[in-house]
Amino acid sequence: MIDDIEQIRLKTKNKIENINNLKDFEDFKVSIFGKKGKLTDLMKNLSILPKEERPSFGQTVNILRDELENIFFLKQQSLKQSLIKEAFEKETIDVTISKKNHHLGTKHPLITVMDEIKNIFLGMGYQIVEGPDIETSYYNFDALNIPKVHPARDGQDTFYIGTDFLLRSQTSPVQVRTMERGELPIKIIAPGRVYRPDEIDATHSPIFHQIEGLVVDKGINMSNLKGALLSFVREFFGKDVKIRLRPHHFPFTEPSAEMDISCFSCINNDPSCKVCRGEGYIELLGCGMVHPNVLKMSGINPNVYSGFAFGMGLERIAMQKYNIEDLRLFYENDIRFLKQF
Amino acid sequence: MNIPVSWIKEYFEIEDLKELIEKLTMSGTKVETIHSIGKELDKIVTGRIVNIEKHPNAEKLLVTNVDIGRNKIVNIVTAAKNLKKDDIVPVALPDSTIYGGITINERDFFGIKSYGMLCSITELGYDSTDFPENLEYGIYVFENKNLKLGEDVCDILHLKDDVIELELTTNRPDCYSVHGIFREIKALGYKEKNIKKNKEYSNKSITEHTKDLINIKIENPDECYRYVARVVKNVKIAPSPNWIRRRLILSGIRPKNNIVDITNYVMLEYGQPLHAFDLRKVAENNNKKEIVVRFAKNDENITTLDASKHILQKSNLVIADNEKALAIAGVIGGLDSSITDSTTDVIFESANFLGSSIRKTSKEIGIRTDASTKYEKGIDPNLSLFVINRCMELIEELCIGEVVEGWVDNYPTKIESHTFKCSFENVNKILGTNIPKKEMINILQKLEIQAKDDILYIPTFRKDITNDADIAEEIVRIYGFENIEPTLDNVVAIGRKTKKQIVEENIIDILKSLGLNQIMTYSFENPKVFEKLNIELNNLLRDTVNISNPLGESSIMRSTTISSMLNTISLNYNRRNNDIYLFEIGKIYKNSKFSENKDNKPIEKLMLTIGIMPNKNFDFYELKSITDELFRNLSLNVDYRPYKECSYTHPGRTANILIDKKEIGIIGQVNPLVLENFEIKENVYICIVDMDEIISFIDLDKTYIPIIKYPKVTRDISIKVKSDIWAYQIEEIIKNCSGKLIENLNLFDIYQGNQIEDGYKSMAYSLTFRDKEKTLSDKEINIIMEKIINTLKENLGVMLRV
Ligand SMILES: [Zn+2]
Repeated sequence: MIDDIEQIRLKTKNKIENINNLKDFEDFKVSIFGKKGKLTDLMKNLSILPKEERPSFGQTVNILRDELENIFFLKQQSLKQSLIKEAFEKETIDVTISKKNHHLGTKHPLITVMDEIKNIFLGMGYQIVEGPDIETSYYNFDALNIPKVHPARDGQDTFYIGTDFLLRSQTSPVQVRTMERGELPIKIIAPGRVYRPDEIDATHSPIFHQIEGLVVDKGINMSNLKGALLSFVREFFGKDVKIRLRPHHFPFTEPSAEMDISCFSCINNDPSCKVCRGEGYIELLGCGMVHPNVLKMSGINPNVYSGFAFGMGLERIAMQKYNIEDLRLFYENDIRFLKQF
Repeated sequence: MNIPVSWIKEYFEIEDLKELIEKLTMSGTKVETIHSIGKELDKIVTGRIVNIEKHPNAEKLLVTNVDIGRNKIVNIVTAAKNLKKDDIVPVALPDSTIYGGITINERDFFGIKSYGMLCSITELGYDSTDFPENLEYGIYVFENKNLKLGEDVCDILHLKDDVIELELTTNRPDCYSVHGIFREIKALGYKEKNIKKNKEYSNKSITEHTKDLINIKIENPDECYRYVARVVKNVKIAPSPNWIRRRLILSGIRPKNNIVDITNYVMLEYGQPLHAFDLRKVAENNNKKEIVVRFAKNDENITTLDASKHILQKSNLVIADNEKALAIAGVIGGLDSSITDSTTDVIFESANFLGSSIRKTSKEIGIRTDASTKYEKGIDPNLSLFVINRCMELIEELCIGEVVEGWVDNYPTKIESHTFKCSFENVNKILGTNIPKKEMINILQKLEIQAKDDILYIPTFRKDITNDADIAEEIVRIYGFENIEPTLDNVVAIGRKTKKQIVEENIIDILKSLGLNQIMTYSFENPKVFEKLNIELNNLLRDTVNISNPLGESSIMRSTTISSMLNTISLNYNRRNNDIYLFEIGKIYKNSKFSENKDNKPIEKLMLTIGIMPNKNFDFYELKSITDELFRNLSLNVDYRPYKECSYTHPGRTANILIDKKEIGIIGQVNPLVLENFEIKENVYICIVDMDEIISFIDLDKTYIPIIKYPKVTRDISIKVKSDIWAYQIEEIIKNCSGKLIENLNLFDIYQGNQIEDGYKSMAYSLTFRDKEKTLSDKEINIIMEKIINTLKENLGVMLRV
């Protein structure tokens, strides 16, 4: 009996060495552990053994079972390993091939820049307000203190729709509409499309976009304007960018100024710099304290309230940001252009 | 406006030009650029011809001995024929540079060494307009025979200068002159030089008085504020001196003759246009030359200096005698009374007209002159007399003629300097500063504004200053914006977007993630677009909002976005770009009907337009899967219904998009005949949706719907239906019959062809049911399925396939 056990151990160990597929492995496993397997047969012998030998025989068989189970487990592991290895080799593909199926689309670069600007002002507590493209002379000119006779009102500078309407030549009408509503304080930016009869070229377009800001409250002053613009510029162009206000003239603000920012593209006014042309500064926006007449016309008492306003051109900023030299690219929409953003 | 730096330096001590430019720019007189004139000219000196001989070896050349100063006489070879002994000429020395950057060196001409070159004015970069006293192609010969030799020719002939180009603002017409800018330079702290006059201004030569010679009548004092005239007799018409010509040219004015040049020169100096009439051509009335300022008569004719004939209107102001118009006031003189070479006696005019009137006339007759531009901007009437006297001073100084004593000055209402009470405290409030009152008054004084207590006396040339804000601007531009501390306002406000802005951003994000590229196009449209789009004549789209003054052919505001999209696809297609997936969010414009806008203001609607020109494996259903995904993301339930009425789409492949039975858009394949008009030869799919409708249907407040824990039951149903039955009809019945229990229905197979008889199609749906309160039993499902099948049979003649 004990010899049989030894026999089984040796034979099994030998045979399992030569098995190299899962089917043979399973068959062999059944032939040992199955209902008709060798171990079951051995245990059947138990009943014919004298009573006193049964415990030690049983123990020996159990040891054998544990041992064989371990052998089978290890064999199974190594078989799986080699099989999967084979499969991996067979299934190997050229992972360096690109087959593109998923495309993420793109946001228009002007919208991307607009969003960036909007988000900065949102963070500073500004609401975003919009207005119509088609306006009246009142909102586009009169209410902005632009004299009845002024070149900006000419057909060369403004598109007219019949005698009553025009295409807004600036986003300032939105400021007037907001002030008219009379809900103070006001802290808004007004982004939008504006129209001027300029022939299309690399830097001009009859349609372009502006973003204007307006803050009206008690005690608003020029120092606040400078603070607001400086915060925006540092956030958008970088912490080291400096601003410079130059006196200027706009009918709707007084005092008025143009704001330049120090060139972010070159050091020490490089004459070959494409962004500033060696000036060291880039003209960015117009701004000023809202003219008392403008407040008055919109029903706000200029003796109590004051405000500042500023306005900038989106295309210019986007061109500087992306180093785009031809404005027409924005409206041509060649997908090779669009897909870069 | 352009000013030569040499002109500034005549009046001011300028050590650092860069500093001046910086100061001007930062105080509101922006220096755009500096044009350096003649900067390449170098080492060109005066030399005297001592001797001229023929070149021994070359017939056409001469050999000159030239004294170039410092006891140095050199040989110079030349081909010029206009030279004689003792002529003083410009000599380009060896290693010099002439016009065009050409370097001149010592050179051998047929065995004779030439020590540099003798120069013509062309070689110095000028022509006979600049130097009329000289030949264009001969060597320049100095008129002054006493010039020192070896001196820099550039200095003598004023060949080198920097011209600063200024950008001036419309509120400062007083700056549009040299002395206007000088006033700014003074305010910036620069000291004026003491300039000695060459000669005292006198007029002893003629004993008559101007008042005996001319009479001035102003018929329209509302448009002509002042008219001053003076007379000069026995003038000698000639070119004006070099220095005047140089300054005119550098300032952008072409010299003509001494009389015209002087009026222009004085206009440059003070911004007041002057005009000169030939006295003989002005008719007399009661033994006096009579000048009348009046409106033109209807259809009155005048031929102007530029030889063009104009028919005037009643609103055009003219200068006339009692017979005819002599000039169009403030714009241009008449040809007949203009200064010619034979003119001997001249009437000078220094007048002040209403800017808007001059502007209107100038536009109507289509002529803009330096004078009309100045009048348009506005001139101080108190300048008129001063400036005409300055002109007379120059005429005497340059010995051009004999100035008649006195003047005629018709000035109906004298403009006085205005005053107002300024609150210096308020100025500090506007600026956010604490500038002491004393410092402010000091600044104002520099600007010629006098303060007595809080009352400010504003000079008449600064009509733009009327309130504290204006004063704040004057203070700050001299005080310096850089001296204002940046601070943050303390307005209590919260940054906020509107629903429209939020929805718009969502849509952009969704479409972007679905692989579409956003485009932006013009809102203008060519009216021919409706033919291209095949749109019927009575279609409302043709009732467009029209631009009265369009640029080119795009004369209407677009009433549909489809052509902008097709144009963009066409551009990409014709550039061989593939896989064109685009969308645009942009407005369309239409005329308002009675009820929509009470002021008849045109209506603007925001539209979402999708346009796709796919490469392959794309059909209508692919497009629909994009819009389905968009609407699902926006939590909008939309329905699609077949639509055959759209002229620019395929009638069998177009659907209306509906929300709550309201049409909000259209989706379909573009009509190939329309595509031909856009030069596109591939299939294009489009979808146009009214964004305003989407925005109104969207609810931004989402709430969580609990996940049902009971299991779902799925049943498949395979049917045969007539081909003209639409899926939506079947789906509506399925939904109606199953009430709230239906969770999902999915058409997983559709087939037409073999095994299915003609005129029929087979469809297979997978239906998913779920009850939120219990597990559904087979029995319940069977009842529903039976109801579905029966209704489909009854209503649509659907047959069940097994
Ligand atoms: Zn730079």
